[in-house]
Amino acid sequence: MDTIKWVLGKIDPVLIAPYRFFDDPLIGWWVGTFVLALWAAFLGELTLAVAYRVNRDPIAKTSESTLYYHEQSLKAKQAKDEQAYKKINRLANEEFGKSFFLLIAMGMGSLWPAFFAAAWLNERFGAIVFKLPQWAGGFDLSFLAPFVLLYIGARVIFSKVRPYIPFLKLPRQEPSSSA
Amino acid sequence: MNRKRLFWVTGILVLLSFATLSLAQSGSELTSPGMPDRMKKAIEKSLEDEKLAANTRKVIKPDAEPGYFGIPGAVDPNVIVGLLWAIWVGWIFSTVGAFGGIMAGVGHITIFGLGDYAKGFGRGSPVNTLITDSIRVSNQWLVGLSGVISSFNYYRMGRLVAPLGLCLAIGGVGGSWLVPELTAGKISLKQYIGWFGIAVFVIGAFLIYELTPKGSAKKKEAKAAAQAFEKAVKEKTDTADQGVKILEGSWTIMFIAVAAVVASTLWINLVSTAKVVAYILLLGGWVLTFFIGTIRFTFYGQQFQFKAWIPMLGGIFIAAIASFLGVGGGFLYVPFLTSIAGLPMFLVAGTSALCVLIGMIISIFSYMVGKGVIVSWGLIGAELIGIFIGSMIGPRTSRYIPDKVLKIIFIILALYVGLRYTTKGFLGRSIVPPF
Repeated sequence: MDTIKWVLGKIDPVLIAPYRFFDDPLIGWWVGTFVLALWAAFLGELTLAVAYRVNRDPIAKTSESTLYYHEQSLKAKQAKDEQAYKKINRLANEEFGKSFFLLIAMGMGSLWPAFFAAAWLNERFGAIVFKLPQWAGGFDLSFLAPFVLLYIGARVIFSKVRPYIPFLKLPRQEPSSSA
Repeated sequence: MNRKRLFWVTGILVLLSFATLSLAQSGSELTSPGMPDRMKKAIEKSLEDEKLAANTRKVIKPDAEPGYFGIPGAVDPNVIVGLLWAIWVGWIFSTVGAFGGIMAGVGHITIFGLGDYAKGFGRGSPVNTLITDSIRVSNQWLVGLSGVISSFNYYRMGRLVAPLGLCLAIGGVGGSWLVPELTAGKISLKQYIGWFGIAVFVIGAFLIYELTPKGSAKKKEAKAAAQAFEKAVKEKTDTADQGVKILEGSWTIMFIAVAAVVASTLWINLVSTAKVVAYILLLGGWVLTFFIGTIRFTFYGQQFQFKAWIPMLGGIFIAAIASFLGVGGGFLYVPFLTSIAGLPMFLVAGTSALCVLIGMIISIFSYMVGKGVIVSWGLIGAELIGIFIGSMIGPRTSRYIPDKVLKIIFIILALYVGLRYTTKGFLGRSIVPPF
């Protein structure tokens, strides 16, 4: 855990700088946290791009066999052979499970910067409380809720610009709808 | 109130606040400045009970360096060990699948030493239950994240059966908040690992079944059936028919039921009084589902149907188990949707991912917002890096290790982990080494 604190301490000057762009502390906090969310989203996208490039072949191979069983199961369904449909469908699921968990593990890997960002925010702004207005219930929120919202926004922005950035552009892995 | 009086009152209040703060900090030498408030409160509460206080004073070493959650002398999960363990978890995820979630839990309980440390505080100790809840939520962050990643993609591809997802969610939302509500702060580590051990046995049994002659024969039959249909020409379907098209189902009742269970979640977590309202809303939502009737839809031109209450009941049990154990629940949703709902593969994947996502959001929200459970963000971040590295290695090594060998390895592992955790949890000591 000390290692994590050490790493967070080293990157602290870079991360805190955008918080000082504005004199108003509230505006500074939102801008700084949005820049932090952008960093987290960018590093995550980069990780995902590396993962796709490294694992392209295994994913394509399992996708191919998944699609094969999926097609056969639908043919069985079409022929009103429910028993065969169930059996082949189970095989298709098993095949799909292989690429599914691989894709999930890769996708989870892309979220690591967000958790480091949360750890840094906790160190720096753990004591901050955002009080919602009365009409919204008047509840107290920690740094987490605004950060999650900004992070989702940053990921949406990256998903829009990704096709225009050569390295981040992901190859299509899902079988097309030609089945 | 005149201005002078206002200054006096404010001044006294400020002084009182500082005094309270300093008293709170010096009240217990067992807390540290960097410790989360929730942990401070748990330690202070455990000092109120004579027996628990003795345990707490024995376990917390005031002069030692702060460890997990800033507790002086607590175990301090080593980042390198955490990373290496997470690589192993990522490797399992990318080769055997769902068993990775179990291994993530084993890491938090055993490898990082949090389990034995929490147990030292004794049964009923608020520190013990807080660390146990933290382990459960950390597991859920890791495993449940899977739902976030895939749900959105499936939604865009038209591979989500919205009514099915909603019916599962009506059950799942309740299951996901009922468990934190009824068990958070009440389950000791011993009980938790006992049940975790039983879940490992169940997964092990699934793996064993697949290797039995009966299991293998079923797989062979299915392959033969697939080959038989290989030559059959598929009827051309309109591209518009390839997605999910709902033919029958009462959307109005479904939305009212969803609104009722969502309202129940918000009430139980955000409104601290009249909890009975939350229970009434939840029960109302569940009862309404029985009036939705049968839902029919087409996918790739083929017709499928299910009764709305079946996935609702399935959702309750699966989400409750997932929330209790701190796992995603995908390993239960997939067989449920395939065998009971008879859904085609692409829909099973998408719908189960959506259910995992909904369950995870509700459960984590209930633990963290409703019950104030804390997690170590940095540790989860380091673990995610490990999972990423492991998922790079997995596809490369699986080329050299046959599927059958992998399954045998994990059956042995499941039996070992299951035996160790079940006996440690329910009998008090492990019957397999290390004792």
